[in-house]
Amino acid sequence: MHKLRAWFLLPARLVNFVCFVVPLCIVLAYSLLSRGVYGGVEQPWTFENYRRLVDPLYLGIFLRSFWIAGLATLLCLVLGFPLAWFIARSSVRRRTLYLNLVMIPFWTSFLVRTYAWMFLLRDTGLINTVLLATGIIAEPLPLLYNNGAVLLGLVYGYLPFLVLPVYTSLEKIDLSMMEAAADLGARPITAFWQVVVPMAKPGMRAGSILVFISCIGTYLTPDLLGGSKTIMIGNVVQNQFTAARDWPFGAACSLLLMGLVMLFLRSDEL
Amino acid sequence: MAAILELRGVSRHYPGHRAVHNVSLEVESGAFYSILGPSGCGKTTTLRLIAGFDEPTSGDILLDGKPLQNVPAFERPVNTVFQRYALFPHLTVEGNVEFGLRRRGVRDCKTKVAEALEMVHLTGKEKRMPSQLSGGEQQRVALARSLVLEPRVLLLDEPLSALDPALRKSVRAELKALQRRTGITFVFITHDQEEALSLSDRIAVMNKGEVEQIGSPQDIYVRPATPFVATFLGDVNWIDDASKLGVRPEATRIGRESPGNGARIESGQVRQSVFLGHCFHVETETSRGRIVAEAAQPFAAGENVFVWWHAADEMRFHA
Amino acid sequence: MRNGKWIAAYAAAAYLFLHVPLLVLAVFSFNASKFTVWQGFSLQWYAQIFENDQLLESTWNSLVIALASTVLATAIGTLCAYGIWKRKAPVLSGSLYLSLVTPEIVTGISLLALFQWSFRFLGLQLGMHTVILAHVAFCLAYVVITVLARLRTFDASLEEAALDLGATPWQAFRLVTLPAILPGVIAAALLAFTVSIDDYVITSLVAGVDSETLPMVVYQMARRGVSPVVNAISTLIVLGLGVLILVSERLQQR
Repeated sequence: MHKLRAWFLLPARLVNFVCFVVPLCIVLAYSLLSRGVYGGVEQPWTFENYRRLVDPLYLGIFLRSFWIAGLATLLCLVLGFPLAWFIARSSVRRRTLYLNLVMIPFWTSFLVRTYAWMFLLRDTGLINTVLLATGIIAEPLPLLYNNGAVLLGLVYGYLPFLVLPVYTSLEKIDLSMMEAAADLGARPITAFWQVVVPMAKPGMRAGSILVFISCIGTYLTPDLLGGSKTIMIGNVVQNQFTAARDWPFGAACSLLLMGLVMLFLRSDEL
Repeated sequence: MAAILELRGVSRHYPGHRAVHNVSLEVESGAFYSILGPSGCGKTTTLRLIAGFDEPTSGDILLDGKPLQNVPAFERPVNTVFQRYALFPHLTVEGNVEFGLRRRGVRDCKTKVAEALEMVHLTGKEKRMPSQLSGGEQQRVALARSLVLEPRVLLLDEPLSALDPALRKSVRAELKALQRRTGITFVFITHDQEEALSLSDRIAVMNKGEVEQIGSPQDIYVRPATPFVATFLGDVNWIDDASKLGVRPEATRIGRESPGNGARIESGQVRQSVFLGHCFHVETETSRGRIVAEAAQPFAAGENVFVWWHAADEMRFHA
Repeated sequence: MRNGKWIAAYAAAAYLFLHVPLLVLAVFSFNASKFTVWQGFSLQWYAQIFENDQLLESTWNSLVIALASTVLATAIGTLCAYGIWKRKAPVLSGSLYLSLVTPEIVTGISLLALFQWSFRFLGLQLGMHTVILAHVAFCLAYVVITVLARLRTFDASLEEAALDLGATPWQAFRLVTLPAILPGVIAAALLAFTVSIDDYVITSLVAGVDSETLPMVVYQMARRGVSPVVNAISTLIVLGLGVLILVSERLQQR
């Protein structure tokens, strides 16, 4: 029995080791090496790449990434909680439908969903076209390629990440508890804060962490909706490995991202 | 007769928990052997050790005198009827019954399957899926599936507990008849003392992972070795405070006048009479405490009465 | 306590927010005009998809990659989930979970680093094989999680019954456990297929000249500017993947 189990786990262990653990170790090694003359890496070993992470140029990008990811998480929480509440309070038969309506667009193409916002927000996009045609504005509004567009794309992209866990914890709340609270003299708003919010906290925390780590590591959204104006850590990583040909620094940025993700995951366990 | 199955000092210890501790028992060939105990007493673990789903931490299990250690479950000539039957939901009745035969490479299993199904009165339901069967029928498929392999020992894990109570008695009789007919040794796990008493040739009573007593049904009912066995198998009137001396209500008589012969006699007052169908249980308050007696007619609460029993019916324990 | 009017109105607005952008995209893929002004119904952009060799070729590549990586990831992931279900494998589970939450860009560049480094010794180049390997690696965690969820509802005594009746552990898995969890395995495969065929970030980093995928072409076209052809291909992608996901959800709930 144990022998069979070992054989069953072997291919997965192999794939995970070769395609996840080893690559991360190589990135770790790269981050401690120097930039090669023609790209790639060279000796000597150095901590220089980590020191450069606090360069004002990059520090600004990192801080903005934090700020945008944090704000997107907050918005997802504020916008997603009522939706999760609505689904959890629907009749059991409708819940699956309502949940699927959130999850199905989520699982279809992320790229296409980001593109949809380009289509809407461009100077010649639908929103500007309509506003111009109706005479509300005379010049197209600069809707795309700014922080706001990135924020919108992130909220749109990751809202379901929040709705699902919050829904799961709200679904477990027995409504008779709200009634019991009312029976004991609590007003609805008090009952909500005293009963529902504490019960939903695990879901809210798990959902927020998922949204935050997805946003902080995002690449595609700022790339397409932020253009060259709003870049985030993910774009710095990509740029170092392609155009800038500074692999060691790109590797250091990657590990910074990994560190952040793991830090926030750990905070869920505490 | 020789023991077909023997457990010698078998223990299964988990970190911080002794599921089974130092269990020794011998099952004779062709016997209906019950392991009786409350839930969590280690009886199911014992069965899983015999079946080979779990390994003892110490001790030996011998089948036909040969140790079963390191023999995997699928090579043991022992089969199990599971508590919830564990029928394969994607196979028909026939598919379930021939599953084991196919694993043994039996070519022509049709006749054997037909015989097994006839034995449990399921002829004609070969093509049904388990989900289309009643609980009783599912149980019989589970039996047929194991019996068709003619195991040395058939293990039954509370096979009646998933049935509704109305069915249990008739299935019980069928089970006993089946065991007689096939001559296969049954090891039957149950927490129901009535089941154990009515079916078994021998009973091992387990409590907290250990065997408390092994004996025939009459033995353990009439001469329980420990207070636990006495109370688990039936009601007991404790004559003293330390649970050293007891007598069963059905051995206790009651009357308005003292019998005046050599019996042990106590005087008391009736608290209440409870009608049980075939008799009344009359609860009395005596100087020895609460004593229940069996009677043909009820007594009024508050009546002054005498209760008595014979010394031979007393159960004595050494604490 | 039912949902009040306000919360229902809010939910309606939220659903509009989630679905309108895609609906608008779909509507304008049938627009006769190249511009975002409605000028009548036309299927010309869909016709153009089939005249665009780059789109067709990349779609073919995407299908081959997604199929190959789905088969591999589903096989490996199902075995792995079974192993973890039998007895916990905390290091492997933790590593798989971490691979699921690792930012795609980090996964992409680390795989690129691996391939660049090892190919110096092996004399290989980036291509279909590297893309498929990368996809197997990141689809694996999705498969394991989905199959594991199904296994948690599986009655372990069925497998013991199989062993009891003389099946070897392998036979018990193949003849009893696998048929019972098959809906979960198929759901996992559909999910892996969706995740694989949609991936842009990792694929674009590890693809070679012969392995340009559909998302890569869509990305390039989107960068160049909005075009009704992109709307058309996007609509097809969303519809296709939407159906797969719906089937997968159904299977998981069964």
